[in-house]
Amino acid sequence: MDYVLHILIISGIYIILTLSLNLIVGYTGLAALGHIAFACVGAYASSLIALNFGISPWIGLMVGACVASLLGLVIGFPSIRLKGDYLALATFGFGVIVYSVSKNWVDLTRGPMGLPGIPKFSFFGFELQPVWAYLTLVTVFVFITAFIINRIVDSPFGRILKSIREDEVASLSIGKNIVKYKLIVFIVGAFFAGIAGSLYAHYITFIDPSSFTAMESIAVLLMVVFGGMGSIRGSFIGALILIIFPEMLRFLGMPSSVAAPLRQMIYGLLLVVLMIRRPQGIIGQYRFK
Amino acid sequence: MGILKVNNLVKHFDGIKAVDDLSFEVKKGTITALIGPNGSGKTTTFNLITGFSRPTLGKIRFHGTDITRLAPYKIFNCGMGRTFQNIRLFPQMTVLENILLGLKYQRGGSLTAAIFRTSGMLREEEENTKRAMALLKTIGLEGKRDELADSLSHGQRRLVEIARTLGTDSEFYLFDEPTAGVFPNTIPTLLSIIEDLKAKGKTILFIEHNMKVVMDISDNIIVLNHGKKIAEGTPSEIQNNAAVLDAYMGKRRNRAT
Repeated sequence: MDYVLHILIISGIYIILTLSLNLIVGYTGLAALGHIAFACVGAYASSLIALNFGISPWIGLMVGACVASLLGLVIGFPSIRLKGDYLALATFGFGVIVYSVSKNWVDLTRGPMGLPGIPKFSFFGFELQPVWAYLTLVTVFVFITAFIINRIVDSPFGRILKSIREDEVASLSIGKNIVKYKLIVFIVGAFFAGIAGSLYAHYITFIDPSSFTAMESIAVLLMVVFGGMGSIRGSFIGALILIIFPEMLRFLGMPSSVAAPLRQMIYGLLLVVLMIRRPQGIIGQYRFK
Repeated sequence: MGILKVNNLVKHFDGIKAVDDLSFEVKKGTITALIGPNGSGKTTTFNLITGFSRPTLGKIRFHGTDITRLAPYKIFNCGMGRTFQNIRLFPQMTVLENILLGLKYQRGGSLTAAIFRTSGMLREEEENTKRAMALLKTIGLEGKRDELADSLSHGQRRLVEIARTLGTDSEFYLFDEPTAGVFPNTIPTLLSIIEDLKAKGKTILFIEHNMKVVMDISDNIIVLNHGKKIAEGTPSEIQNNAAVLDAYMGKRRNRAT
């Protein structure tokens, strides 16, 4: 039972990541490939202040999100002037930089040894020990994130974001300062990714750089595209399927030497088929131009 | 009374002079046409004025302030709205959304207004939706409000783009070939829109290949060829100008000798 709850918690954390990346990629049309860097910074910031200064994870969560959005500003500022593939490469590069810093700044992050013993969230002095309690907490954050992002996209502000995705030149011609909007989107997206990272750190209670590799950024992007760009429900579906489906393949009842590579292959095949049959994602409406 | 002053504008593209030492003035409250054969630098001139392209040399002044190297959105904020030769709508958004994007939002356009769904934002959205519907009515497309811009015909998209620009309530409008590819029945609608703007004291600069349209509504015509101004004047002056006829028809050879 705890195993199922664990998978749901991880799914929830990925839903937050997917929703926040969908704001950047699906709604604003910015091909960003370094999203996990924001989660990395959020996770390390909130873990480090909890371990070194004994600051409550609740405050750490906010600090982590704010440090992540600061990184969003730092990464966004030089990158958003780039377009399409170039933006993707630049953000990918920043993702790699953040990963190597977390791995090599041993004095701060303990590098590959990771940070053990990160405190859990506590509620009125009681630590959130049972898995179901943690699932409740993550679920609350998933819905807060979905609620806020839904409000952002379903507004005159969100309309401007979509106009940037549709045609930047036209958007400029009616007076939209697209650089400003792109930067805001980067900061907001990074904020929620920071929350996801911090939730992860205080749940697993151990983090190391291997959780924040470039592959993770790509996985989150896959969830966005798989579920549907520019769709809130799509982000839920994309993250849930791509987390739960590989887990289900565990129970095929094959020897583990066959099962593990087979899982990878079925997963890959699923993506290829989806992209051929439904390039706009399961319930999305938009596709890459 | 020149609201827009272009002085000695030059634009090189890898050695090709797309615009070559061009100077002209547009008077407030008039309709000015920019004409010339294909490749004579009309659209390039538009892009230079609206900031989408940067001039190699020269100055552009609007209301006396230098706007030569400003970003396009800043030039827009000075009061210049434009349309494009190859129509730029937001294809995967509805017709209504396309029009709404052109309208000004004072309180409701910010991130905080979106997150807190402020009453100011909702009220503004309601007012703007009414204004957008009125604009759609002037172009006769109120029935298409919820259709994607992508699904419209070429002529309808042209109209929606013009309506979106009208919604910006600019002082100065630049229309790049407003009647190109539009069904002949629609042309009178377009012309009455442009003449209404003039009646409201707005200034219009437009590029056009349809000479009947140009001669009917222009107060002043500027003729370009190879990036240079070869003539300027009222419709009747231009119709009898030898240089213009040469540019359009080719030089008359003297066979008498």
